[in-house]
Amino acid sequence: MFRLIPIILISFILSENEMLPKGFLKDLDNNKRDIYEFIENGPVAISFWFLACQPCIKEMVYLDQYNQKYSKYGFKVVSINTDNSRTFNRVEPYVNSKKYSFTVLSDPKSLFYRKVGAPFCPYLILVDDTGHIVIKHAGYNPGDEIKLEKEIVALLSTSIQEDTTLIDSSIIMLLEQYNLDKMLLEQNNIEKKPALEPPSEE
Amino acid sequence: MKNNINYYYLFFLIFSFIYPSSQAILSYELKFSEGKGDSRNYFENLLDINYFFNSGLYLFAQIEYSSPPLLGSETKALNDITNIFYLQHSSSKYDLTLGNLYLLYGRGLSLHTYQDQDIDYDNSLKGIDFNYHINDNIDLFLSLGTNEVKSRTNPADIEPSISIDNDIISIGSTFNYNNINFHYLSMIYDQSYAYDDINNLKSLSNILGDYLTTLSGVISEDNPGYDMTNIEHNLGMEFVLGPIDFYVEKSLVFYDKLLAERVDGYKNYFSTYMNIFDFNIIYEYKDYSTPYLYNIFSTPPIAFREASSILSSRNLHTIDFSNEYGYHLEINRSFDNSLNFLASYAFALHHNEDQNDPNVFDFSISLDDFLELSDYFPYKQYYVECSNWNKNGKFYYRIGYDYFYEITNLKTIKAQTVPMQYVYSFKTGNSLTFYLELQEKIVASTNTEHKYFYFSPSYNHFGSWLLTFFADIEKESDKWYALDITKNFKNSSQISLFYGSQKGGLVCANGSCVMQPDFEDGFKVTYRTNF
Repeated sequence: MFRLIPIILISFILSENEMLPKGFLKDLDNNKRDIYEFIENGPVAISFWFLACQPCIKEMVYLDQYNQKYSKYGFKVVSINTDNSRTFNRVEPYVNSKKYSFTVLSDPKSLFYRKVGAPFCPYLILVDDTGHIVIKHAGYNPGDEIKLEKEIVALLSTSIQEDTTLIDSSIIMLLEQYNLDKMLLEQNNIEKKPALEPPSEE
Repeated sequence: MKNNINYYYLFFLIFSFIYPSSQAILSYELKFSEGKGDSRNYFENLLDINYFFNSGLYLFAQIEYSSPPLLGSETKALNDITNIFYLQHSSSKYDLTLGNLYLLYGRGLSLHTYQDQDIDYDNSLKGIDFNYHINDNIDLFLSLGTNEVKSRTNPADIEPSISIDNDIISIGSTFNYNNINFHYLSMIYDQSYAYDDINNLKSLSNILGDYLTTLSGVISEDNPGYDMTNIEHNLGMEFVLGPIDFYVEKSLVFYDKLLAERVDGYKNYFSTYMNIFDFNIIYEYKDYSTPYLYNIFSTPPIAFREASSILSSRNLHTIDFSNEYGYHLEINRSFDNSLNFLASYAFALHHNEDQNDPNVFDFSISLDDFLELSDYFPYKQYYVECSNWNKNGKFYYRIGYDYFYEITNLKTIKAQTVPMQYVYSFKTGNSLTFYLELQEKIVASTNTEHKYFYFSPSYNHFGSWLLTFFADIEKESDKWYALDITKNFKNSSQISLFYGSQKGGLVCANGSCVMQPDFEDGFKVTYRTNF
């Protein structure tokens, strides 16, 4: 049991943000799509899923909502399906039945899934408009979508603050919470900083 | 030779870390268990390395140190620890891959290579794959490789019992224009079966196993084994006619019956999809007939619905990709009030060598007729499900009914399962989930009736930690209880501690199955992170 501890500690120390790997994937109409085309206008949530994954299916309901709600700020959801030849033909009927508003790409050999270091499905990464992976989530449990929405609002805070037509109270609340958290964090940082010069005793 | 290759991989891996790169993505998984009785204790470490060079070159390696793993052989020595290694270079004109090749053409009737860690299976080729993009519509591809595919003839085996050497060359083209997609693939592969492999294949419960059993007198240790050269031609097409999508694929296979004459076989697959009044309907038909061939590279569509419930998945249909025909019909519809409806029906039979194939489309088959088809190992399953989130998104339910009936040469199983799931989400981001499943199963071969009950409540605390209890009970028999706590850390790192007992079972993927042993009264640790 004790041999587990150093491994866990080392991996914590090494954790850091990285860039989204380059890649081309096909959409359900068989068109080749560059994954970087989706971050041209703003941040993207990339989600990996397959048909038999029930948590994935539940999470997609919220991803669809957020894709519609935040699209005017340049945000997009890109959903990457990893079903292989065994069940691939059932993906399009399923997606069409749900009328999802986001783009669904296909990764039947799981090569892009492997490239981003996904451990299991559902796996979601939030990528900012410069291509940096800022947040990763493995797995989904009901309730996790609330945390995800806060993270999306934090990523879009500049665009949302500039929106003079904003009337959606749920977005206003999340934005106020984000601004408050940011202010508290800044205050904490100031208090932690040592004084530049010791006060004079004169 | 294999050892030298692995040393070369490791040398290259170390060199890669010295050579300047734009970035590396690593993910690590640790699994550890210590249980009592017949529990299989394991200590597995899996490190996936993605390395992106400034030159555009991409490297992937998977390193495994397991002593022992849950399934398979120990990997402790330096020359054993590299599971996967490949280098890839892509440009607008071509894709080039060197190392382990994961290939898929069409729906995999002829060629689909993949790794599945859960069943300790990897049929990837070690070689070179070149894909040349002539223009936006036409690609040409060529793959050359070799492999030694390890597999199990008995799902209960911890270690693989057969190991078949293959050398393969495949060449083909894909074409797409508007709504038409087309592919053609030709492949030639040499297979080498050692005496032990042929002897172990006798235990297969299919036509190949029966045939080899009749040759028991011929198969002896003095026999040096058997080599064969197989040829496959594979053609697939996808097109749209008005509101209906079609997909058709066919493979012609020319191969040797082990220790005997040359024979031919085929694999056919057809699917169609349409949307009528918001009902999404998909129909799939499969007919796979290469009964004397031990399939290595073919992983075609299964044409049945994979169960997502714990108890239903214990009666999973074990598809025989060498010999099976049948169909699958699935209908799903989402209503405006977010109510989802799903219905699925699958029926399949095996070809029987000496008799004519029964009509698989005879919908009037009664239970007695079904029993009369026992020589064809019939399988049928239907499933209906309703699920719904209420309007404010707080309450969710999913209720299904699964009917499964299968006759194999080992047993006859009839099972009815009712899987249910209820979720209550609090406004602040925490939630309660309840899984409840009931099953009644009749095993005709032993004339026994079993009743199972599965209950698993879990509490999600703001995405920070998750507490789950498991109760898996067979009436008047086994009872399995366990508790699991999972803590999520920043950026998808996760540690899970499990204490208790867990019922084992058959885990199947792509026609291969392994029996995961029961776990008795112990603890398990799983840790995952990427960095």
